Amino acid sequence: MTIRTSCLLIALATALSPTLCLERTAAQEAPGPEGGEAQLPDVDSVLDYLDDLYRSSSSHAVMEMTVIRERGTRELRLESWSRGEEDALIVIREPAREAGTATLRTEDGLWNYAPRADRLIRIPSGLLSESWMGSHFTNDDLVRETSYDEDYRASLSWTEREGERYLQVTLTPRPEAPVVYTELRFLLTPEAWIPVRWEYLDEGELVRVMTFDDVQSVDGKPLPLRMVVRPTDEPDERTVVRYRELELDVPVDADLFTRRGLRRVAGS
Amino acid sequence: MIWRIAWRNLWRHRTRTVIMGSAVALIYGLTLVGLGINDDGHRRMLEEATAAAGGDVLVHDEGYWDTRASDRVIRRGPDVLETVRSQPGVRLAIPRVLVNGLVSTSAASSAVHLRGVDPELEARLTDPADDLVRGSFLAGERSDPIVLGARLVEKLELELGDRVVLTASDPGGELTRALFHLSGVVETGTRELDEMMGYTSIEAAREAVGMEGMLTQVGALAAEEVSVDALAAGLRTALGERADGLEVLTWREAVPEMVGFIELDDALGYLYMGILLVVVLFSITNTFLMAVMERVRELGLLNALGLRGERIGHLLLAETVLLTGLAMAAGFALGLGGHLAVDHWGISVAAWGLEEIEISGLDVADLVFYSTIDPAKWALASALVGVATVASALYPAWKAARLSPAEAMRFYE
Amino acid sequence: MTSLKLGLRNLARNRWRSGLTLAAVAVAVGLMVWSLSLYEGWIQAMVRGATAVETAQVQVHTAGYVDQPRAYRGFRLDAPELASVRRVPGVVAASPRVELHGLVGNEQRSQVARILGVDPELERRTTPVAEAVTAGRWLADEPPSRAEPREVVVGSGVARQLQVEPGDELVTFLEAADGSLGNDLLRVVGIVRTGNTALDQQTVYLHLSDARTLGALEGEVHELAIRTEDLTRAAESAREVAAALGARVGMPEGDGASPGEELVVRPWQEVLPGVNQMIVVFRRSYWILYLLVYLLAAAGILNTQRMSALERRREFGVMMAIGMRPRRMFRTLVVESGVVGVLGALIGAAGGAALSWYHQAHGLDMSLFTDQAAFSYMGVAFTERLYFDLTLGNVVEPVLVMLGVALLSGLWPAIRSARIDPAPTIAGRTE
Repeated sequence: MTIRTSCLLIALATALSPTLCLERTAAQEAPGPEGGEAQLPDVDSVLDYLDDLYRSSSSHAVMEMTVIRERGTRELRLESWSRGEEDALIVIREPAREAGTATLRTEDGLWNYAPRADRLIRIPSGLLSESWMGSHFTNDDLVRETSYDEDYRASLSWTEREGERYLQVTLTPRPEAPVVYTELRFLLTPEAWIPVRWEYLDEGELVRVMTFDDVQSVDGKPLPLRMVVRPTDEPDERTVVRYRELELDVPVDADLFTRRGLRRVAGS
Repeated sequence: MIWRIAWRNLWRHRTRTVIMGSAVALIYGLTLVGLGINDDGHRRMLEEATAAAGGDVLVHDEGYWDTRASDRVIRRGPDVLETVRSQPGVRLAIPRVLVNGLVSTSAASSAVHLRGVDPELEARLTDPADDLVRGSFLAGERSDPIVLGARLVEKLELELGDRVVLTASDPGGELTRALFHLSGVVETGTRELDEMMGYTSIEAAREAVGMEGMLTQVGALAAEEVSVDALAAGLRTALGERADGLEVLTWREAVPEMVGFIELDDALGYLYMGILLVVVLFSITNTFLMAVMERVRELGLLNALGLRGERIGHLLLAETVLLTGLAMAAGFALGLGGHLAVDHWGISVAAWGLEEIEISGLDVADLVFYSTIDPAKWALASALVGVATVASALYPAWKAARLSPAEAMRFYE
Repeated sequence: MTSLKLGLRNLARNRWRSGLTLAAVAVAVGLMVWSLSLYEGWIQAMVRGATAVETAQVQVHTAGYVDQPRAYRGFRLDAPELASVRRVPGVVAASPRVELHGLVGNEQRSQVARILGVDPELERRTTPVAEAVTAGRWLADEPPSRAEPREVVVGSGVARQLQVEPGDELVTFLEAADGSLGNDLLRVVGIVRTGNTALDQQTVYLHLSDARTLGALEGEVHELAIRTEDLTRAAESAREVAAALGARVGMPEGDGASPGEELVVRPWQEVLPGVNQMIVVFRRSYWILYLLVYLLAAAGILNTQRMSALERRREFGVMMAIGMRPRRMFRTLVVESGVVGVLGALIGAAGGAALSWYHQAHGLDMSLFTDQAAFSYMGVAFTERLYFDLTLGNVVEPVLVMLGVALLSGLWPAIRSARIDPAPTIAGRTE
């Protein structure tokens, strides 16, 4: 079972799209809605491609995150690093009041770094579903995807939305899988398989939607650099993440994911 | 001989006898009913305390009760359960798997205290299914049922049959998740409980947190007449042999905060009984003294006719004893009848104009007064009433025995 | 008038009987007064226990905060307003508070806690929390200099959970009122154990200014907790405070649009309806006691009067024969019952009140009854000595009820006696 931490970080805003890290399941071919107008690709190939899309052993990124809530809007500038499958670090650079605040993930757990205290504070597992840094992502989103491949089965189909055709990856939970969603749908562009829209459903009702745009070429691959997360029960709220810089497979010091390393980076 | 005269005397002055007798009967009967109601309240409180603790005696892994840590489990569940069950003095052994974790849906997450229970066994202590408002209480159709408190269900936006994900630590300290489906909703009326409580079957709980073959707790109910402390001591010995590092607690040790309250209520109960008895004694004594005083003239006449002082005294006492006996018999019937009536129909506080109320720990339905006979208290009360009644006749009897006939006949009081 | 004189004379003639009946009545009333004072004292202790440490007697919030507590639903409280509240008669002290929820802990352990920012001196005057310190000390009057860690006092449950003691450091991390992330370094200066579980298990205290900085709250507070002299007059005090602040008393009725920023003043009964209901039930439950004791006393009086009527039949017959009218006979007898009732009740009330007064001043040592006299039940803390509460109602009510009972019980014998047929009665042929 391979788990990609890169998915974790880079796709941070995409709530760590599980597809990308899924174990290949038996290929399930389904004819398109028009009864075979175009051949469905091989599910393995799609998954492979998505995996490859974000494959890297390390990463470094700078992002802007805008959180829009009932009571106001917050704009943050974040810098992040990842290494291997478990280590990840995200630091707030702006606004000044919050600069230096960070989240650290290692194989031992999840911590927040409090700059004013210059201390780490552990995030108890009970808080996993709580919002991460006040956004519409949860702490769980940062540690979660380790079980997506255990929990879901994938199938492909063609689908049409507002006149546009998409390749849809449908994930349904395996029986007994402890997941709160009953269905996940990932819509990709039919040719290039670029993520367009991720949907999370519970009993047929849409609970959460992620949309992707601003596709640019990174390392020769087209990647959407802007993601928007929207909870359906609060239509006016959303979180938007936009990548300003993104480097894959760059050298990242293992020491970064320790208190000492963190301090150095957070302080700068 | 004297008894026959006494008996006839009683009936010769029928009105007087009836008045005095009925007074004593009524007073005695009311006292019994009062005691019954008070004792019932107290007994129910004891029961609730025991139920809240989980049994008369609790067995866990050492240190569990203080820390509620998920790694403190009884590893040899069936063995320990069997040891407890077969211990003499144990009426019932109730196994439980207790998990403190988080339940999540796509809408929200919330903390939960999940109890893996055997519904039939639990019902013998206190039936959680009494509070069921929707669905069923672990009736057995599914393998992953969960019953949650009403406020929790609201917060998580759940309908019956929906998915619920439990996140908790297994005995090794690892975080683990499990899927459940909502099969029932309970509402106790207590906000804190309805926000936190969850129930599932023992098997489902075990499977969810990797506790196959293990238990968190065994609750033991003591048989009638068995002292809880003795039972605990016995269990400690029996289980100690296993050297499993178990702890055995009586319910008083488990919930000491309730003990103080209960003992205080007990004390207030005695105080109450004391008040009743004081008033009772005054009323009865009063009655008898008066009655006897007033007969001094009549007795003086008897004296003049030749009945000796001493025997007059005996006569009075005999009459008193007979009257007391009769009255108390009637009073007992009254008291018993009253007790049965109250116990059957209950005196409903709600009927006195209380609207829908939600009180921490109490249901409006609970605010009905029933009655319980505490034989010791009834015996004590009866003895006191009997003694007081007879004793109140002593002084006048003595006095009457001493009067000279002439004085007595002029005795107007 | 004659009825009264006759009645009194009748009573005086049978000193034993009257005396004993009087005694029965006096004892009943005295005990009622004493036990009512005990119950009231108990209730006061419950209320104090439930409210004193955390809620105090009156609270002020914004309506929006009451509806759903949120860090950004605070209100401005400046010195003049605070002063105007303190000037309200009956107000002993008022403590402004900032309330935040967040993570408190360190690298190894953390928990979600309620962070209360308070003015140490004002809080000390408003609640007894400063007396509940079991280790270390309460917050200093002034926060330490910026360079040092912030002072924090933690509940005993929190201390145990996080395994800290005075001198240890903690970190707090939370979402501030503007959505940003507040954090700071804290040093534990004290641990409190109040007996109130919500407090001990989940609350930590910070300086008001520190909490404001942490929560991005300029000059704002979430709550004003007010201590009043008289627990029982909380509702009136709430009204007076509301007038002083130009706020409303109690929440607006019905759903309405978002309640928003209006200030709402509430007495503790509204803040903790559960406790209030418990008390209502408790009071009603001692109606049973009332009932039984009075029934017993009534039985005693009834009996006395019947006996007396029986014995004095001839006398009554004679009186009726010489011209006393039935109505006067009736009145006379009723007066007898009434006098016994009143006198007995007054004597009893005096005795009961005296004893209650003593126990009000000195308290009753509850450890007579139980070893565990100091305990906490349902989050409410009790202490060893129970102080009674003697109120006018406690005294007057039993007296009045007894008067009623006495008159009623005397009614039937009086009626029967008034209906006596003189001739056969005098002749003794009525048995």
